[in-house]
Amino acid sequence: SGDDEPDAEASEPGATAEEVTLQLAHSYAETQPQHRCGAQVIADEVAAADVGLTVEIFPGSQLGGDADRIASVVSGDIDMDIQGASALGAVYAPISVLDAAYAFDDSDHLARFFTDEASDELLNGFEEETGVHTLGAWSAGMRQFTANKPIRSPQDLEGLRMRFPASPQFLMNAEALGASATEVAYEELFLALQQGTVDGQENPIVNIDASNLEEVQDFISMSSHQANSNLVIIGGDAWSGLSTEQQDALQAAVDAAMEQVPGCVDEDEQAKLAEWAETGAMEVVDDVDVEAFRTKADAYLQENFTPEQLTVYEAIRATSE
Amino acid sequence: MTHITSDAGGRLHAFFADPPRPVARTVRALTAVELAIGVLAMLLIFVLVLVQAGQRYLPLQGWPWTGELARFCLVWLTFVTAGVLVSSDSHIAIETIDAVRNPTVRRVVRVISCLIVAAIGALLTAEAWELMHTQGVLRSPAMGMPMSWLYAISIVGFISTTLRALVAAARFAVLGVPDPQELDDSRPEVTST
Amino acid sequence: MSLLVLCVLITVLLLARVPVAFAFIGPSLVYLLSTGQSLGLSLRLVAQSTASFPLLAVPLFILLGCLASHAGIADRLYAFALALLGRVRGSLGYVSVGVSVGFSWISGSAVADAAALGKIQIPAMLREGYSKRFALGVSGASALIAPVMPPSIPAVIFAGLAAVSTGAMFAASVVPALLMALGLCVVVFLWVRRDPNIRVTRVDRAGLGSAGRRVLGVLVAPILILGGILSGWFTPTEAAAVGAAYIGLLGFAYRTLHWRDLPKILVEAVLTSGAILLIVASANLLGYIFARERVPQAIAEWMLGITSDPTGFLLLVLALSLILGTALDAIAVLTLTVPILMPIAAVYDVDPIALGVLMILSQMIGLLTPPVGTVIFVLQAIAKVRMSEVFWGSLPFMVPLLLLCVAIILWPDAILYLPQRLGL
Ligand code: NA
Ligand code: NA
Repeated sequence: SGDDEPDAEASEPGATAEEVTLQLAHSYAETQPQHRCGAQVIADEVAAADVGLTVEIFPGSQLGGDADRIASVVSGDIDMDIQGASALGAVYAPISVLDAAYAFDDSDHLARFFTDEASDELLNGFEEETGVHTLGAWSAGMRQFTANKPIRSPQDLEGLRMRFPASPQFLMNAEALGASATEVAYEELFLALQQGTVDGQENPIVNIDASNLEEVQDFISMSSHQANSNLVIIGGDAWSGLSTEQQDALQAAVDAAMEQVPGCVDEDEQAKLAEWAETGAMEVVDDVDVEAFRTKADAYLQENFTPEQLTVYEAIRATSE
Repeated sequence: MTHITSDAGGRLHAFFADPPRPVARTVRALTAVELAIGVLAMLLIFVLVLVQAGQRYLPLQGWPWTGELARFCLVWLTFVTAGVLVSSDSHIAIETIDAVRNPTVRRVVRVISCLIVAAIGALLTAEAWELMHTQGVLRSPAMGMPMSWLYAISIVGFISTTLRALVAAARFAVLGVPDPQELDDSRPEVTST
Repeated sequence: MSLLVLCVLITVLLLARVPVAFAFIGPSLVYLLSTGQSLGLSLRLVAQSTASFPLLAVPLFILLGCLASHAGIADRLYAFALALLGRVRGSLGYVSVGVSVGFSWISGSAVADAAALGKIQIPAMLREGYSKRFALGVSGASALIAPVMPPSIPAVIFAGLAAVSTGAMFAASVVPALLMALGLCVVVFLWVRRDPNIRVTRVDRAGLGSAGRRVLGVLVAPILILGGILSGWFTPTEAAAVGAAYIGLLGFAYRTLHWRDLPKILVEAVLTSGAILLIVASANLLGYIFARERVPQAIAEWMLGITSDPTGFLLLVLALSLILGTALDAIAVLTLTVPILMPIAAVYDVDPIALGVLMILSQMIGLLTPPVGTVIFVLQAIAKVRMSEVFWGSLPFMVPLLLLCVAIILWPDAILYLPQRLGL
């Protein structure tokens, strides 16, 4: 698609738009809510809109890992992607603040931030810097701690080797929460937990379930210390190559997915928690002193964020209820 | 090289059969640089992985960048050795053609094959050059290293691949190809699975 | 440019002796550019598939193997096996299998095994009047134990590709590797009975004690590597580094390794790693194109059209693996086919670990088949014989290996017993 074509099309709404197929890549399994209620809903809604637009999904990191794919979205080799904020931080550092500990109170807060004007400055900055347009975002659940002992307060983290993903914001979160982060590649996490190479880790429930970590961990402590953000992004050329009608249909499809994902995630989470409670696969610790973690994290982040990061953090906090 | 079938004479033949000392020395020096980068990468991988293992047992604050640097070293090791492997003819290849008895056929095929490798080396050089200039906006998650560095170091291997494949093509064209039976002893051993 | 053109081009380049890695990268690069992808995408994909954590174990296990080859580990194991089994008729055949089993706990590569052990045992067998074919066949076939028994470079690569635990792959491979050894011993037994030229080798039984003491240090290596992984001291990648450090120190303690040898060993390890990793990376690039063009889905449909039975699926996989293995490098075949086969295996409800062991075992058979058999090349170079001698010699030894493949197909769950017992 040429650069000047879309304007011509946009100015002639009567003309039949060019048939366009967009690839939508992500790293989740087809059983996970990010795919079922996210990617698939986007594809289905777009097809139903009948505007000459097709969204073709490539799940399960078929087109590469998160870091590879974000580079491909920037270069225009992949049209659309679903990415965590920290992965996007590789191309636009301020956006990774979305993954800061207790920045969001819950998934609703994250949804509110992205539908609110409060997120405009951040997302426009991202688009100006990289050309990548953000269509929307949802939370795939809050991240929780798992270990072989309950983690109810920051003191319980002392002496535990906790695995955190090796990106700056996650490591900052570890510090902020009072954990000593240990590096283990995601591929080796199951074995490392099982053999006690590391003592614990943190992830949202749907990811813990997808990698069967309940088989090797005794306790899940409901700290809800971070919203696991997923941003739906589209490359600049792919976005501007769509007619206005197609853009509207795609945006509506993403909005529909944003509506559905939190419900699906919640449903999956409740089902999993019930199953774990029933089978005893993992004991659910729900009397975590969240306030203690939150206060500790907030103090640390306020002190250690750069002014630029602090601006984003404060914009997020301002939309808290 | 003693068993070489050749029909070309003159200075060109002498140049490839027994390169002048400054040329030979330059090639040796370049090879040494490429191997040194590869060995350094290998040693870094070794040390970093040991450090990562040791960190868990020592009362140290973890260094989250060890795994990431080790993974980048793997990339540098892989790309930077590509050229040396061309010169020593130890890239893994399907060598059915070596069994053909007609030396002219073998010679033509090997010259073409080396020219193809040179062309691919040139394409990879162009890609590395492009990425050196565009990937700077991306930073690695743990170290914050600009991703352009990944390609800046790798480009050494692609330039080397291109040049060495061209030289190999010229060598085969001028000197001919060794007999199939003579091949196995002279080559350094590269062990696959 | 269409997918068909891409595949034809790759085949032509492979036949024209263009190295496998370049034969994959070149046409893929042109294909991606011709379909409007950006300049640099191919290299980015190649680089990023190389920068994977599980692959870090590959150069480290190669370094471990190179250090072991230079530290005289093979000689010590050989002397011990000879002292232990020497007086049986046809002993050198059993010794060959036994030494390979010992070496396989340290080495992850058949070619390293064939090179290190072939140099010792082939001349010894020829001196004792064994036939050339027998000497080559048993050496070649028993070298195939090394990449099946953990630590195993193909298992590391498979685990990375299939996103399964390397530890589980390792645990699942132990029993098949031991069964390989048993099967090879049966062939040795049958062969020796039919060959009147094979005598009883004269061995000094008193040497058993000292030979035993000389391998004690070597036996610690697998305890450190496998024990370390299974007990949770370190991850498989870390175990490779720890193992290399241990074998290096052992070589210095034995005074078989010297500082002046290190540059040569390191260069050998670096070049070997480079050659293997470049193939992995290039096959990943091709895999990206296949994924983008939905080739796995097409193959899955085709397979499901032929059979709906997991056994049928595994038989298809075996046939495919054996055919590809005759001409292509094992690592290239694994990297190309595993991403395609994994989702299909899920449809058939075949466990990925069983699929991995089957694929690795069948790929290893290909190392002994023409036109391209890397182990054949090594033995040819050592014994100065024609390719056909090695092939005919190893043919009887392939029978138990093929039977083992069939056994895995019929009882895939048996493979999972050990990893499940270990809770992996
Ligand atoms: Na092994
Ligand atoms: Na073969």
